[in-house]
Amino acid sequence: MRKYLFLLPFVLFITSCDWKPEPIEVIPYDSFRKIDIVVGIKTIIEVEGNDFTVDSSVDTSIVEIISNDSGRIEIIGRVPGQTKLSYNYYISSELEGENDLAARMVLIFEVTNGFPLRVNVEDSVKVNLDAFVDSIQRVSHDSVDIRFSSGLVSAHNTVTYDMDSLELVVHGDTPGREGLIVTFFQQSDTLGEPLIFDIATRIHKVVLAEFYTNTGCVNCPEANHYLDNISAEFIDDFTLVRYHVNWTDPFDPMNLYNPGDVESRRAYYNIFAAPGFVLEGTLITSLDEDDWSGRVFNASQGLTPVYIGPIDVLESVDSLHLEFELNSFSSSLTDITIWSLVMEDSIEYAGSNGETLHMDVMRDMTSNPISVLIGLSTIQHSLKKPDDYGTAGPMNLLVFVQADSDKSVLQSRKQNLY
Amino acid sequence: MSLFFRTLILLAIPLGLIAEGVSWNLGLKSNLGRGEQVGTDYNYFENFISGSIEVGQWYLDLSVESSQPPEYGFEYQGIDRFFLSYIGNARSLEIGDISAVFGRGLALNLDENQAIDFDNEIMGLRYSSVFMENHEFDLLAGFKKEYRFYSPSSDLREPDGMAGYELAGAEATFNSESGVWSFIPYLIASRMQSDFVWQELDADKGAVVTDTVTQNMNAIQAGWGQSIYGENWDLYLEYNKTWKAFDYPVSNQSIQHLENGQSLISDDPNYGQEGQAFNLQLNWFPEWFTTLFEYKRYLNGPETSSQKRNPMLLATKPLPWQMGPTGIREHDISLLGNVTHPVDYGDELGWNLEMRKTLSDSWSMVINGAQTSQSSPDGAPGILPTQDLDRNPWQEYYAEFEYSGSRFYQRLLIAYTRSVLSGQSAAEIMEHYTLVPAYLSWHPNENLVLSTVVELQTSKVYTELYAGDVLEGHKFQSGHFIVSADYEHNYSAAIIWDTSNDPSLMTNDEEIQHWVSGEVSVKPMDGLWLRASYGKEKGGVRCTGGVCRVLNPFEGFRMALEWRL
Repeated sequence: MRKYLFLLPFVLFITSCDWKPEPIEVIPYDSFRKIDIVVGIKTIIEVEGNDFTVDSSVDTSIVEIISNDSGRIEIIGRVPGQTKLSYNYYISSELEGENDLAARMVLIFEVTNGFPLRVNVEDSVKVNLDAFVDSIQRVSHDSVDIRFSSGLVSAHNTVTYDMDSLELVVHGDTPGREGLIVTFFQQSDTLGEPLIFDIATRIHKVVLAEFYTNTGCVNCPEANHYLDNISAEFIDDFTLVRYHVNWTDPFDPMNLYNPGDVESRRAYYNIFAAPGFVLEGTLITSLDEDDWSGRVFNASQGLTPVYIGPIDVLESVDSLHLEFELNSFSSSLTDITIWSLVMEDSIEYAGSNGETLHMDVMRDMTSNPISVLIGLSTIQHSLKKPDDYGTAGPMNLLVFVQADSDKSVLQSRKQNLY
Repeated sequence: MSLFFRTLILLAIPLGLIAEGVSWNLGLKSNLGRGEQVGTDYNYFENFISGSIEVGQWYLDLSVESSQPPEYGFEYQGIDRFFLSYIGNARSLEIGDISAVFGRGLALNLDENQAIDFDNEIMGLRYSSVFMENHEFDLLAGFKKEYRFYSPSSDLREPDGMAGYELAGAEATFNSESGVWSFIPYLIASRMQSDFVWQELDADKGAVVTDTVTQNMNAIQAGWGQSIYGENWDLYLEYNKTWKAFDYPVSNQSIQHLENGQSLISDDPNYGQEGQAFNLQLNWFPEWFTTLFEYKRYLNGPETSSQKRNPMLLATKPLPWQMGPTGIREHDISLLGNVTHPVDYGDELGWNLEMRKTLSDSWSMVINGAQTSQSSPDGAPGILPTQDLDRNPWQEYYAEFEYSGSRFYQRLLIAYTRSVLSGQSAAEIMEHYTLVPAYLSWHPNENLVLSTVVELQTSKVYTELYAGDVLEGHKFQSGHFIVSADYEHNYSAAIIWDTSNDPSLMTNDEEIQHWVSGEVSVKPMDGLWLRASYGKEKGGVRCTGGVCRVLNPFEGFRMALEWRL
C-alpha cells in the first residue's frame, strides 16, 4: 500500500489548483443614453442611484462639465463632436433584504452646432420656429433666408416654410447628415443670430417578427398575448406574421390552408417547437414579454441600408399583383431575397388551446432573389388571393428583405389592403 | 486517385505481406440511399474501409471513411477511427479513439453510434492495470475537437451545433477477496468550449449587441459505484456529483428602453452549477422468477423552460458524456419504439420494474412497468417520479409472452404508454394502446424460415388545462406488418407495410396513409452480404442508449453492402 502514497501529493496538488475559468465580469444593470447638446447651451442630466463614481470621463475639448453631484450633471457643449461619460453606481433593489444592484450608465453626448432634427426617408417633420426665435425676430421679420450648409439645394432633404405660422417642414430624401441655416431679415438687415439645425436623415427600420403557432399549442395563447401587446406598443416600428404549423393540432385549418409554404419557412429556421419566435431572422428561445419587447426596441434602433416604398396593388380575379420599389441609395447589397406575403386578420376558429381569434395569418407568400442591389429597383410579385378575400378580413400585405448569408431581416413593410 | 482507394491499397498490401503468423481482418461497408424525405431529395453514400491486425499482444484497428454525404452528419473523407492497443497480463494501453465507461456511465460513457451520428469518444490514451493482485485502476485522457450535438426532438440531417472538449479521468475498482462486493470510485476533470449567445452594451455604438461567443466551462465529477452480490440477488448503486464553472455566466438577459437609451439587465448571473446523479439496479432471482428493479434520479442539470428550448446552451445541460442507464426498455417492436421516451439526463426521476417467469419448457412471460418525470422545480427535487401534468410525466406497462419451440417462435405483447408534454398553462397528453398478436417465425424445414409481424396501435391525443378542463383531441390507429422468408440464411425477402390515420402524418388528401417497402438480402459467399430495399418508409424515432433521433418518412431506394475478408 505504501508505494501508492506517491499519489497523495499529486491529489493534493490537483485539489489546490484553481480549476475555475477566469469569470467574465457582468454589470447587472448596464445602460446608455444618447444626449444631444447644442454648442453653447447648458444641459442638465439626472440619473437615479447612489454612490456614483466616474468610470471614464469626457473629452473636455468637446464638452465642459459645470457641475457633477450625485447623478445630477450640468454640462455645456464646446465644439461639435461625440464624447462619453461613464458612471459606476448602485440602484436600490426593489426587494426587501436584497443588496443594492451594481449599475453602469454611459452617457453619450452628441454635440452639434445646430438644434438636432431627425427625419426618416420619404417622411417629413414639422418644426415650429416659434420655440426657437426671440421676440424681435418673431415680430419684426419680413423675410427669411433658408439654405443648407452644402448650398441652396441638398441631396438629403427638401424644406418648405410657412411665414404666417412660422412652420418649417423638413422632408427626408436620402440618408445622411445636413446642416440647415435659417436667417431672419427685416428689409436687408439680419435680425439676431441665424438658427442652425443639424438634420440626420435615416431609413426608418421596421422590425419583423415571424411567429410559429398552432391552435393546439398549449403555450401559444400566452405568447400571442405578448405579441399583441408588443404590436400595440411599437405600432409604427413592428410587423408580425404568424405561420400555423401542423403540430400539435394537425387539424389547424390555418395550416391546412397552405401547409407547403409554412413547412418550407419552418425548415428554413429549423423550428421544432411551438411557439417559435423569430425576430429579424434569429430564433429567440425565451418566453418572456419584457425580453421580447426589449429586443424589438433594440432592433428598431438599428440602421438599415434599404428602403421599401409603398406597395401598388392590382387585383385580378384570383390574384394580387404587387409592385413596389426598393432603394439602397448609395450602398450596395448582395445576395438578398425579397419576400411578399398576404395575411388575413380576425379569423374566427375555436382552437383546442382556447384561442378563438387569429390575427396576421399567412395565406400566401412568394419571393425572388437579388444578387446585387445598388440604388433603386422595382419589384413585381403575384400572390394568390385568399379564398374569402372581400368577405372576411381585414387583409394586409407584408414585404420584407432578408439577407441570404445570415438570414437577418434588413427591412419590412406592412400595408393594409382593406 | 481518391483517398479512399489509396487507403485501401495502403491497408491491403501490408496486411497481405504480413498475413503469415498474425491474425488480420479487412472489411468494406457501404450504404447507399437515393430518395426523398418530406418532399426534399435525400441521398447518401457512405463507405467505410476497416482493417485490423493482431500481432502478439498488439492490436491495431484503422478505419477510413468516404461519405458524400452520410445518412446523418456532414460530408467527410478521412480517417474515421484509429485504435492501437497493447494488452499485457496485468496491464493494457490504448491509444487513439477511446471508448470507455466508468461505473455504469452516469459520469462517463464514451461511445460511438454511426446510425444516429453520435460520437463522444475522445482521441487520447488509456492505461489500465491490476494492482495489489485483486484490484484495478484505469486512467484516461484525451480531447474531442468536434462533438456534434442534436436537440432531443431534432429531425434534421445535420447537427444543431458543435463543441470541443478535453477530459482526464481515473477510476479504481476494489474487489473484496470473498467476491461479495466491489467498490468503484472515480474522478474526472474536463474542459469544454461551446457557442454561447451573449448580449452586452457596446458603449461606442450606443447599442445593446447580441454576439455568439465561446463559453469555456470547466467541470469536475466525482463519484462511486458499489456492487454487492448475494445468494440469489445482486445490487448495484452508483452516485456522482458534478461541479461546473463557466467564464461567461448563465443569466436571464433582458433589454429595457429608456428615454434616448437602453438598459441591459442581467439577472442573477450564475458562474457555476452543481449536479448529481444516482442509479440503483437490483436483480433478484429466486427459483420461480427473476426480477429487475431499476431506479434513477438524474439531476445533472435541471433547466428552466427557456433554457430547455435553447439547444445551443450547453452550459446548463448534462455533459456530453453523462449517459447512465436509461431505465427504460429499448423496444424492437416498431410502434412501441416510436412512442418511447428520450431520457433527460439533466432532470429525470424514474423507476422500472421487470419480472420474468419461465412458464414451461417453451413458454416464458415478461411483465414490465416504468414511470419517469421531471423533478420538482421548487428546490426539493423529490425522490419518486410523479404523474403531475406539469412535470412531463411518462409511463409504460406491458406484458409479453414468448413461445420458443422446435419449429415455431412466437411473441404476444400488450402495452399501454402515456406521455405528457407539459406547457405553461396546459399539457398535451398522448395515450397509446399497443397489441402485437403475431411475431411469428416458422421453420417448415431446415432451409426455410417464414416470418410475420403484426403490430396494432390505437392512440388518443388531447389537452388538459392545469385548471382542470379537458380540451377535445383526436384519435387515430396505426399498424405495422411484415411478411418475410429466408432460405438457407443466404437469401431473404420481406415486405414491410405501415398504415396510419394519424392526421399529423397526412401528406395528401387520403385519410389513411400507407407506407409499403420491399427488401431483399443475399449472402452469395461467406463474408459478403448485400441488402437492398425500395419503397416508402414511415420513419419514427430511433433511440440508442438514451440518445434519440426523429426520422422523417423516406421514399426511395437503399442499398447496403458488407464485405469482410
